[in-house]
Amino acid sequence: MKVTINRWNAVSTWHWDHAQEELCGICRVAFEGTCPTCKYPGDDCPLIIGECKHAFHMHCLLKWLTTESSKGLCPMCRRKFKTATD
Amino acid sequence: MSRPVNPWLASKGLLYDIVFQSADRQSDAQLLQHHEDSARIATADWQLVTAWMMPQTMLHSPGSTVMEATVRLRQRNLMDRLLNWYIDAVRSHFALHGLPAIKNPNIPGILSDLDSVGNGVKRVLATLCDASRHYMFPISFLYIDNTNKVDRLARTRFRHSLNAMIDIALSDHEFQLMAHMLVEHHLASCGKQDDNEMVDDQGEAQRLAFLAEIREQIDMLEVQDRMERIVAEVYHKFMPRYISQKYVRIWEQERSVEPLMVELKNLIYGPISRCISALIRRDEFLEARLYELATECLVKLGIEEMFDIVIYFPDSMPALGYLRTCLKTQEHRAQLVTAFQNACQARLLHCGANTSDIISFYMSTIRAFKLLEPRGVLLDKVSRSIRRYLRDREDTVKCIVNGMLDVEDPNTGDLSELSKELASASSTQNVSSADDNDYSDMNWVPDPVDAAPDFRNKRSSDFIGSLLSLYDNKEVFVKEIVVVLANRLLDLSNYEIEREMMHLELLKVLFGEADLHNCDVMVKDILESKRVDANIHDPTTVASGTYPVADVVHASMLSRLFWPAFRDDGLVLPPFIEEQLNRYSAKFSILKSARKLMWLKRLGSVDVTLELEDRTLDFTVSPDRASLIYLFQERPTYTIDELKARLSMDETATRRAVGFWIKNDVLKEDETCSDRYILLERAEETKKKVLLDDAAESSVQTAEEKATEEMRIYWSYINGMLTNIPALPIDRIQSFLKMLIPKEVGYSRNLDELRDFLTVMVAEEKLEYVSGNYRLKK
Repeated sequence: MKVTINRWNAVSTWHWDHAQEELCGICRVAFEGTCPTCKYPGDDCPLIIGECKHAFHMHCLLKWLTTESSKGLCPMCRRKFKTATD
Repeated sequence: MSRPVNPWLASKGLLYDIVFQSADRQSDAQLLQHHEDSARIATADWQLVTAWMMPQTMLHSPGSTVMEATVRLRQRNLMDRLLNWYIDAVRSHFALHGLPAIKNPNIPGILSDLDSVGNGVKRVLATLCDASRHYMFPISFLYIDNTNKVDRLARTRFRHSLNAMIDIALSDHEFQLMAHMLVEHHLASCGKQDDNEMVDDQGEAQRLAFLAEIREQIDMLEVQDRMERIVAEVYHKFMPRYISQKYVRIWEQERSVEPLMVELKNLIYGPISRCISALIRRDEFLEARLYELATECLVKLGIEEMFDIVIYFPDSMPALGYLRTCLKTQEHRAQLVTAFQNACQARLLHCGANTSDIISFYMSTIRAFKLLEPRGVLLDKVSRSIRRYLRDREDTVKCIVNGMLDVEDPNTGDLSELSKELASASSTQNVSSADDNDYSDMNWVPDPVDAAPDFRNKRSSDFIGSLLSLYDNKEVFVKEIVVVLANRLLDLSNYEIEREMMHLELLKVLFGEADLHNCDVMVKDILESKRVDANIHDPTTVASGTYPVADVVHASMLSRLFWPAFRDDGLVLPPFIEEQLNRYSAKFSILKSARKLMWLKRLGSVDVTLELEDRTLDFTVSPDRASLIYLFQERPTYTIDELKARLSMDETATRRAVGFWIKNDVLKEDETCSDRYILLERAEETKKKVLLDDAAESSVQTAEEKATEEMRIYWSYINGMLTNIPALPIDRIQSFLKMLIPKEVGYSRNLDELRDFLTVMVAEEKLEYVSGNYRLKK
């Protein structure tokens, strides 16, 4: 017998690969979910990762950085927040 | 004074005493002689007159002697007595000769033939007419003076006693029978008449003439009352029979039913009215009363048939038409509701009926009753029991959602009507949101008196709305929609989702955008997958260090938080496919930086072609089945344990996959060794196979499973509760949970959900259920 596979429709779920934690530290929603202002996850609501390795929804972090009290610090470790370069 | 006077006494000379009874007080010696003389004369006169009066065969006018004797009797005030005597004489004569004369010896023979029944009736009446003429004859000579009060009274008295005799004669059972048959026969021929009107015109004239003759006799006998009663009785029996014969299941009869009420009215105002008024006295309301009775019968018929009317809706529209016209009284409305509810209980609302059938019946009910009564009060009443029953059915939601999404599922039946309704309703729905609190509506009328206290005028005939309002919140539907849609999207093989998008848009109108947000994301995932998939297969994008992905492999990439929880227990795919999937995810990670794919290997679908020695077969199967048959390329036999190990599947799933291939005659079980399967390179005539049923398995968790999963957060509370109090009934647990669980966590489950969850816990052997109480298993 010979089995020929004509078409294989596979199903997968996508995940962010370098998040250490499950939830965004600011909005407490899973990374694979969306920040409170977005409707669609993934491309529309990307992550941002700092040099300190802390990850957030990008929209959440940008909003945090615009507030007075943030002083440009990472909300988790209070170091200066800089986007990881790799 | 009322002592009987009879001819025999008189003839024996005892009359003397009797005649002078009234004069006893005047027993004056002087008068005695005179009295004796006149008494002798009186006795002679009396005998003369009574001899003439005695009923006899031949009538002859009284001679002058008789008349003179009468004058003398009148002077002596004996006329009253004479009348009493005569009445008695007539009675005995009638009993002796009259009654036997009207008895017909041949009743059974007559009853079988309608013509002789007519003649029989006529003969009886004729005999009675004769008799009454005979008996009246002497009266008409003796009591003739109209100015004399005594004479008039006497005539009336005699007439009364004569009537009484006739009445007794007519209440004879046999006569009654004949009269009933006669009237019935005539009514029936009126009913038949409308079929061939032309031919029967002459027949009707004949019949009417015949009835007129009878009427004459009746008038003469003054027994119209009796005849009216007979006619009324017959009509009351005749009409229901006629109606139910003619109008039963009217939608099944091949005749134009449009002018149904007109036809009935014509019949009653025409032939029947003519026939009846030929027979009895009539007044101006006769036809109206007859017609009212007929409509009453129609309503009764309609009430009995209501269940069938709904079943055959919309073919049964004509029946609804007449029911609508005739259904006026509160009593009928109440009867209709009760009869319909009883029929529902007996014929529909039991476990033998499919949920989809009940739902489509409910839809017909809504339509039919809305036609019957646009206000919807009746509908509100009759649908209560159906709705209550539907709420208790487990698969109601599933059926409705499948119907709305137009999913073909052998388990839930066909409700595609719902999706059509959804498409047509959504365009009009927003416009017709009638508000009950429109205070400026000058045409407002109060609800009918039989409306239930909590009756609210619901959306006009919109049964999607009615179905959705079965449950207090729409959440159950949303959950089910998510599950059904997820299954649909995963079953697609080429990212074609136009139909799903259309359905989703329609559903959004019903449920609101926010509730179906998940569905939006799911649809977008598939669209995005299509784009990414095209990109991955694009030969121009091959980056260094990656290999092109074989054309056969395509993937859906899902945002896992927005889909229902998946069932995926892992599976070992054919090595070739595993390799391709790795390449696929590598390319994905390049395309979408910082993201990776996790494969749900059991999900999806595979098109395979099997080339066997004598045949080539095409299948579209699930990945586990494809992987399993792929293994048989290496060698033709496997045991179930080997298959389990190679595929890393559990036994149930493996057996199910094997079962599929056995059913399709690709594999067979080894007859010498059970649990060992052989590839059939050549097709065999196989004997009947007993197999596991091949129910399509949902790839996502169902709503109930999900609910149970979510209940697990309350387990620690239940556990703690049962540690303190060893055994508790379910309603105590429920009330404790409501009390104990802090607001932040929240507890909003109902008793049924809790029971489901506790049942699962019992199955997992964490709890015991003993005599109505739950307790911890030690």
